[in-house]
Amino acid sequence: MIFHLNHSSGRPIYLQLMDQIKHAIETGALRPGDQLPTIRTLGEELVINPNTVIRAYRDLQHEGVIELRHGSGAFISDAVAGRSKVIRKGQAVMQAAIERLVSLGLTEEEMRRLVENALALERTGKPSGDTK
Amino acid sequence: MSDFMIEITALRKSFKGNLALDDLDLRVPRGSIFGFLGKNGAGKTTTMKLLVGLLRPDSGAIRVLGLDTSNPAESIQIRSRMGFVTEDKELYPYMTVEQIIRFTRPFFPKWSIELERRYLEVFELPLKRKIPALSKGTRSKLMLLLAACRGAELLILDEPTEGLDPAATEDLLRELVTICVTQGTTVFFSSHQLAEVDQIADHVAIIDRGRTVVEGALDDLKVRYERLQVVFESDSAVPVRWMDGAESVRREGRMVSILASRNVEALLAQARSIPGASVERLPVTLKDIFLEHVRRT
Amino acid sequence: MLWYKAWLETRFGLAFLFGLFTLVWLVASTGARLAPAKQALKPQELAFLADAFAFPFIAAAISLAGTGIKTPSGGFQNQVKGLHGSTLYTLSLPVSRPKLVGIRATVGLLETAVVIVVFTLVGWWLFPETMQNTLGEILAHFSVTFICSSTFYFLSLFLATFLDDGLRLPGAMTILAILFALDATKILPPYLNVFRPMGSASPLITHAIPWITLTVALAASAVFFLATIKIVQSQEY
Repeated sequence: MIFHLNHSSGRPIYLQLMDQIKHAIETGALRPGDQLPTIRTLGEELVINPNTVIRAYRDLQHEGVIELRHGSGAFISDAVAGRSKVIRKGQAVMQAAIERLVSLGLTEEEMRRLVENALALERTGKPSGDTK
Repeated sequence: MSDFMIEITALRKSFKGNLALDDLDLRVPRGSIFGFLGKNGAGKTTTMKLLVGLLRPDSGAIRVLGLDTSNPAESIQIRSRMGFVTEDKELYPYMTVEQIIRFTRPFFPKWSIELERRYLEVFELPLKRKIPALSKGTRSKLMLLLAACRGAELLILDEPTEGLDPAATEDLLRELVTICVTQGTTVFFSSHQLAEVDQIADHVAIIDRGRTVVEGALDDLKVRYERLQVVFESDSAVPVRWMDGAESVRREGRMVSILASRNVEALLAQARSIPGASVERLPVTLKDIFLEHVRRT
Repeated sequence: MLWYKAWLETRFGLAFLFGLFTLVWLVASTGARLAPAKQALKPQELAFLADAFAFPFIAAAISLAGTGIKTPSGGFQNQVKGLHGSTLYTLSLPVSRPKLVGIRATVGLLETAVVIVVFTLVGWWLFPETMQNTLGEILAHFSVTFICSSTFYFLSLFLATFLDDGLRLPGAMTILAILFALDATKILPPYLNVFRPMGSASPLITHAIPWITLTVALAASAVFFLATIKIVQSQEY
């Protein structure tokens, strides 16, 4: 599992880690039952604060994405199998939408902006929540 | 046993009539990697020297490792359990690398030879070379070795990566993370490179003109602070005053950019209450927070 | 390790002194061999010579003194570049400042003692006719010389806490000059003149031990040393 972190962006590193682990699960790079690196190993490898890793792993555990087995380490939980189904459905929706936008003559940049604006609108419409 | 390795309360220090530290408060939690930020002359080095006992405060209380720095016996105890890297990185000009390591070792019974060997290798320190012949970056690395091999519970580092190229910086940061993880050492360091602090610190404090202006867990700060970018339909629609929490408001015609430290929901509500306003929420970097708190005159 | 460090800091000063004195002795002995027939020295001449030979020991004592904790101002060039900055490193170690001063002072004093003994012996070897005393008097002479020169040593140490290196030697010499002036003009009672017992008032010549002056010397040394410690403890770096 290879991580790429952006230290200058405003997005906290623990969230970036969580994003990337979830992304890896969605693309199938990580599967249920796979083991993640230990907190210490990841901290030293990525040269980041170990508390950052702890927080990411803990939050992922709260969300049910990973399991922290005492003494053995962090593992991708089996429950994500169910989530993957939903995500694959979403992938199909996205694929169809993009094909339609392409046929309208939109460029990739324009499409990307449309997606970001739509997401932003979605965010501001929500009450206080973890949208970052 | 205190939860804080460093506790500074209402610290004041003047030099020749100039107030260097003006009621400074600071608390460094045990086991943290704590980034200490501020412009040149804000008081970072002065604070660190006060922690080590090189300077004495005019007023206020300093406790390091739970001990009182103004008590000479306790001050020596503090120094036996902590490591310090000075701003100037000056060491004895008549000694070689090898000699100064041999000189420092006997003061610390918990000295780790394995760590010493590892640092000598990772930092590529030339044992037989005289200290004045070393570059500033190499001296930085040597000072870290001298501070970190002693089994200290607390490291106080004044710009430890000064003079280091990006690769050497990464090596040094990695060693700091490692020593924190493996030995539970608390690392209190100052730096001008915000990216470094962003990378390894879990707590930060920003000091400006002798006072602490921001202090807290780094992730909390990044989540708490938000930038709101609002575009209004017309110039007249722009509110004259914003609610509490708007640290800075920049306006260009119909567009307003707000850096909010709290109360984001109320500010959002205020913006959205104006018809035709569109709001975007953006993340805030440590650099934004830093510049915001030190630029104001 | 602090003893080793003090040695490293002073060894060049010591070597310089040895070199200088060797040169002086060579010149003196060459000159003496070329001089016309020797007569027995008259008392004033002997006194003058004794004082002259004692003088370098003062200089040695003064130059070997130095706290190793440099003055905070660090304005003047120090003998060795960068010594001021490294003081911060020394003071960040878990050693009390009085202990640092104490070790440095002891090493310097030992070196001063070595200088005194070696060069007095060398002098007697080159000019055997000047040595006409009992062993007891010789030992007394060394002790008296050592005690009196250490007064100037501690004075120099004390000056080093607030004078930059470059001013320390002139400062100590000025005080010495004042001492001479007061003695010459008879303002200063002879027993207070700490310099004389090393030279013209030495047990070698007077065949007596100047107890009062010794007590004064020891008292003055103690005062300077304690003052030095007090100052160093409260200084800021």
